Amino acid sequence: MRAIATATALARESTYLQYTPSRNSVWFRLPPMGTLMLILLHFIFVVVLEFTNNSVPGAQFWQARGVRAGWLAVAQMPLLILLVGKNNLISLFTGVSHERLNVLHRWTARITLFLAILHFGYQSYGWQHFGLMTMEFNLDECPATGIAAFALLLWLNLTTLAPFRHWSYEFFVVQHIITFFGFIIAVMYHLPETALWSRVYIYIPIALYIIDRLVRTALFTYFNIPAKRATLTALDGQVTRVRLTNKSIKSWQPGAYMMLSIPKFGWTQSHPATILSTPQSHNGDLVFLLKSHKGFTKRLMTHANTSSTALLPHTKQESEANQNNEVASYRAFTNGPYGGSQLDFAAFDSICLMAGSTGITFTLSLLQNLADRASSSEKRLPVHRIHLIWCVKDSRWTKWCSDEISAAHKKLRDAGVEIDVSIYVTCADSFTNQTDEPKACGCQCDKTLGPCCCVAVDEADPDAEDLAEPVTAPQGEKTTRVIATCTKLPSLLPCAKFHSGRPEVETLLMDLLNSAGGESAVAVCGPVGMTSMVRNTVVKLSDERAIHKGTGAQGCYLHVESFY
Amino acid sequence: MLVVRELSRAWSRVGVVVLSEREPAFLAANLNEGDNTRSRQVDDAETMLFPRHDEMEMGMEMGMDGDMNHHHMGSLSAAGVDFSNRTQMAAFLDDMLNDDQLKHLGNDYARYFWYGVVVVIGLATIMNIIQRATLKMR
Repeated sequence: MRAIATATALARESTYLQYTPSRNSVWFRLPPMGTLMLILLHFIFVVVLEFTNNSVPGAQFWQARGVRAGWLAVAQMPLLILLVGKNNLISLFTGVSHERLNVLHRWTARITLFLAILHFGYQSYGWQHFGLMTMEFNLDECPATGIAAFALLLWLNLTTLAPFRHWSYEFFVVQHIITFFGFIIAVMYHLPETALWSRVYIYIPIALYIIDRLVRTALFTYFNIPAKRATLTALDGQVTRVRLTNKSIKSWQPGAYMMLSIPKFGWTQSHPATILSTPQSHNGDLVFLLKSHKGFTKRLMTHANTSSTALLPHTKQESEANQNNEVASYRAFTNGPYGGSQLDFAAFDSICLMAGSTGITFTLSLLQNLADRASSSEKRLPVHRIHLIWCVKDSRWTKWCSDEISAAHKKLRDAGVEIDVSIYVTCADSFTNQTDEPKACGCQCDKTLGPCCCVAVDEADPDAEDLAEPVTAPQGEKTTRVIATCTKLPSLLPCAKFHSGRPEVETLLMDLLNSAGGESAVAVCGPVGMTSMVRNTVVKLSDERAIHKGTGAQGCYLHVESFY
Repeated sequence: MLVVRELSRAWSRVGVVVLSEREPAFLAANLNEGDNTRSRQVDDAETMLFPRHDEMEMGMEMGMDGDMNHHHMGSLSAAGVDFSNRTQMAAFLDDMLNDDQLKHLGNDYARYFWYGVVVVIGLATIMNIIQRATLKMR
């Protein structure tokens, strides 16, 4: 067991790291080290297979290399489809959810393009070397069908680059699927009739795709009859709370997400949203928090019931009463649930749940799940300590889910689990979102370090504890009472401590690990800047403490849920 | 077709280019054993040169397995080919495109790729099972 623990610790340290430009880098973003190693392994394996035992003497030297590359390219087809299906075998066996495999799908496609270039390039060079290019193009239909397939493959790869995907995702998906059909047809025509068995590498992905679609359609039909009704509530910070009536889906994993579709706001659009609620909470209804950007989420915000607080029913009677009132509801469909592939956090001694902005949906679903199990289980769970950290731009954002946090806090306290809730009010974009929105502040923070991070407190709030001298802003600027360190704001979230500025991730995680009596777990959901910092900090601490390397320090598991 | 295959093997032993099974018409042509000079008479070279999409191949190839990749391939040489002669060019191109051996090797290495994929998925599956079982025991 010790050897397994040490191997696990070493594997975690080598795979968790992530170095990526996080700000405004739509074009270039590096995945974590573990993913990079898999991609590199795939590429090296393919290159080795291409050049091993492939130096045919004589005039067929280039032809042989081109043919081998062609075979290897076709062999990538089943893997492409296996990595993209929402109900796929790789997810079933490895426990990795399909959205986490999508990066491997993109890189498999790029490796296929690389092999297609070798296939065409080597053969073309060989023909050109003997002056046979024109004759080959005139007499053989392979080049024509091959160029058609190559053009479609190139288009498929170019349009998967991040800026194109983000420009209009729905259009990207539709054209991607249509182009792939065209590519498959072109490849089938291109494959030589002297090697008909090569078509098996095309038949298999077609079958996998059809099976995946059939399963999705069957589940979609089963879970959406009758159709759900969605109630929308506008919250502070351009966030919409969506609550769906639900009778068909009885269970889902904490942290799972669904593809949400409300035809009134886009009949072709299906938006991923993490489920905030648990099967035991909110009368089994599905609750989501969606930040308004553009398109579907913006339309949700526009049509949401205006309310600064979550005036949503908590009981069935209230729910029925709302139906009779003029609370608008819309027909909604869901596809899923998917995701929730993280390990069981209840099996860890100390847990840190870190969230940035709407990432609270993921961490809060984990917290509520732990609270439900701790309060209902006769046997005490292994978890002893939980620290929930939430980074927001405005302290009023805590109203999004203050009831859920308070309820979970109480349940865990009653079950004997030590729980701390820390809210960090920060202007740091890397901890809340990706956009640059400088915030004017009337405080005396050192602006050369970037935007300051001060809690804006309503001066009329009698419950706020003053921990710093009031600061007078320069003339003409709006003045606010500034709390420089930590305070409690019972009117917002009684169980939480509010902090100004960004969290000291290393200090917080060090405290977690030092006080842990067993293995720890960290879950983070937020922008890339936040998640990459947490990744690198966990690795640094794991290495410094020599986890599972003889010092007695216990392991630390990390799960990162990224914004997509 | 068996006669064609046997004749091809005999020619390869004396260093002549291995003829494709797709060219039975060339057997009736004027060929001298041991003579590398190409003097094939092709009535219509253009209709002969669709080597990888010739319908004649469809019935021939279906039952073949991967044993042929162990045969030594005769090396194709451009020596003696008159590239100003279109007929000889076409024949040389046809030989270059001959994938009798190459397709079997390609198939083998495509299969090796999938062995690797299965190994990686298998290892990930084992690690997943061990990890979840360990947590379950707590």
